[in-house]
Amino acid sequence: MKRLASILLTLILLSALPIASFAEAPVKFTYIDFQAYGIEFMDELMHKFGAEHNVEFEIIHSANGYGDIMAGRVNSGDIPDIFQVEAGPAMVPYMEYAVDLTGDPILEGFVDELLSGVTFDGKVMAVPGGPVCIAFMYNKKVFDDAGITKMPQTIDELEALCEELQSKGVTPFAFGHQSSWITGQMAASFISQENVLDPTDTIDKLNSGELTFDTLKYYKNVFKVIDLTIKYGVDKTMEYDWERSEVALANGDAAIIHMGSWAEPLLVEFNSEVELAFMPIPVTNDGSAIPRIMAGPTGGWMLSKSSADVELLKKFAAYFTTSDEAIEMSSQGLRIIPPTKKQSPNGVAGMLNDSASYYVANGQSTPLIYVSYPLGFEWEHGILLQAYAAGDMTMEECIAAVQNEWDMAK
Amino acid sequence: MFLKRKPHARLVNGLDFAMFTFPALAVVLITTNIPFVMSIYYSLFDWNGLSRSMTFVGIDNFIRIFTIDAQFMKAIQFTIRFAAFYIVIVNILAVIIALPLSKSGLVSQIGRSCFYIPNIISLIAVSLVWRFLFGPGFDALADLTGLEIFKWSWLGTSTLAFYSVLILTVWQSVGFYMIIYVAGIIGIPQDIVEAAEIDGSRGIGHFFRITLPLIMPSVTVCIFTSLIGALKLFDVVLAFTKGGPGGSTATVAWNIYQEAFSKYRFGVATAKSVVFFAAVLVITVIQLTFFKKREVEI
Repeated sequence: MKRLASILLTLILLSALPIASFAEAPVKFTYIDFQAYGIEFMDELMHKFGAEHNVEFEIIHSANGYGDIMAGRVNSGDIPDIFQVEAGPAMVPYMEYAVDLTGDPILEGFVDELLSGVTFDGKVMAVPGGPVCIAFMYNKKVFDDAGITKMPQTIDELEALCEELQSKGVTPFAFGHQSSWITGQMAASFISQENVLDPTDTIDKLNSGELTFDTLKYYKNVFKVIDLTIKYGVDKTMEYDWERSEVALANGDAAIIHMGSWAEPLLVEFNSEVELAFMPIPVTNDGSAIPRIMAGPTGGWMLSKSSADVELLKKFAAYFTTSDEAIEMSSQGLRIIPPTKKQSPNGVAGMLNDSASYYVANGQSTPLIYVSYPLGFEWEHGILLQAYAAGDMTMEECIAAVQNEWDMAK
Repeated sequence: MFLKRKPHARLVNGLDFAMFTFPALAVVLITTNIPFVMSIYYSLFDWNGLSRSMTFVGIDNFIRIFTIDAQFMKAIQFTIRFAAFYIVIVNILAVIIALPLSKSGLVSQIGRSCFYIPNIISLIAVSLVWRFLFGPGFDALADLTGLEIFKWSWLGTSTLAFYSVLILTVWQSVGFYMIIYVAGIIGIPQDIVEAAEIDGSRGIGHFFRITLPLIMPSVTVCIFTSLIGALKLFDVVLAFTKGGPGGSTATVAWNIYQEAFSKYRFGVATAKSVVFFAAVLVITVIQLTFFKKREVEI
């Protein structure tokens, strides 16, 4: 009896085996980015692709700690299958691990300018992401209520605007001084204005010593604008990080912040009725430069050479960036212009995109120069400017320290 | 039987010993000592931490960190200042708390738990709570009380940020040192205390002449631990101030971390960590010899 029972049990168990092994094991892809905004839209695309192609995704969104996760993974040979990279020198360390996509049919759908942002020595090393715009951003309703219609053309006009807002009982700035990268990005506008058409020229001259931070035309004006963000800022503005700064803007507690177009989904989440627009940054008082917004490619996604299935990975990368679903996701979800030639028939949702498009069409944009800085400079640049904002350094000390940091990084 | 052991028993014994210690030794070697030796090696290279290739640069990284790296010097200054304040305050406070709480009884048991609880909560979580406290929390308190102290920007100015970090770390860790001192005080032989009391020893004099000399082993341990803790401070900075404002609360450990993972200069970062290791080693050896001499034998 006992024997019969055990034979039966064994048979049952054995019969279950083939069923299990017939179902093909899913391919596993690891995905890493440094995205803090709109991640739910990206996850949705991945899950959809995964379900259709039997791929299991391990998704890591790491806005903080991206560097150490990648260093750990790369050094242990566990390179993520697809990972986000910033454009420019930040791509270089990962280059030897990435698939060279030059001439690959998956690149056909992309806008050429964006492809050049991820090209090194003639090799396309990543699929590009959409362009972003960065500048001052204001709450339209607050401006309307205060009767402000004209954008400031000079730094003095910016100050007058702040006075005007303040006299109407509005706090002009909620600058996110605690997140030092914001200050760094604002300063990039002033460096980029040195040579609007050719940022590499400015970088090369800074590298060769032909230009220094002391001799850059507009760099010293960064400090004037930082002073304004403090003088006309919220109380304890040094304690405002990017998130508090955005909350203050969305709720109308302050009129202006400095941020990029990626923030719109979150700002709308904070206050669904918020109306937003960009304000180009005035960089001088002498009229030698018009105010501009920064706009350009920020980077893209690299594919790992050592992936278990590179072909499937390419298929995913194409789906993730150039498919109709991806174009819709970017246009309507992330509210960022898709990196593709083909655009959504519904256009790109978003007030910031409308505003940015206006300034780009008007010739009031300048490249995102900070992606071309020597590796490691951008990080410390923001911190040094933060030290100035906190009153720990004078302008001269800060400029000398920034120069020193550049020389160490170049 | 013990005495009649055969010669080869010694060998067996030795093998037993090796067998039992080897796993632990292997773990320590693989996770601590070998990486340490490797980091000395890496400190001689220009390496971004990712690439398969590195360029040998000799002692360039060391020269660089001592000559042009102003932010590293700033971090060293902060760390030394922080360590000095932290060690003194946390130990004095811990002793003051430990004295009443070393009596047996329910009240002191509850008191000990209260002081120890912050120590068992993750420092990251604690830091986030304190960030809220110093920010919106203080704003609300300022509205409520109108006191000037709550209106100060505790995390936004470098002077106050220093004290904020100090207050948080002391609050978080004082319970740990208190427990060690409580154990030390309880361990003082009762007959000595009674004899001293019969001789008229009371109050402050009693503490300095009887209690303190007899808890010297606890003092050595506490100073040593707090010294190491202060020099290696990292997690509070990560969750609480991010080294800011303007790098004013950046510790050496934080600076090394950023050098490696935000600036992709692994060679320089390992050079810094080698220098840091040597400095910590020297400081702690001096501290241990100094305090060991002051321990009394009964």
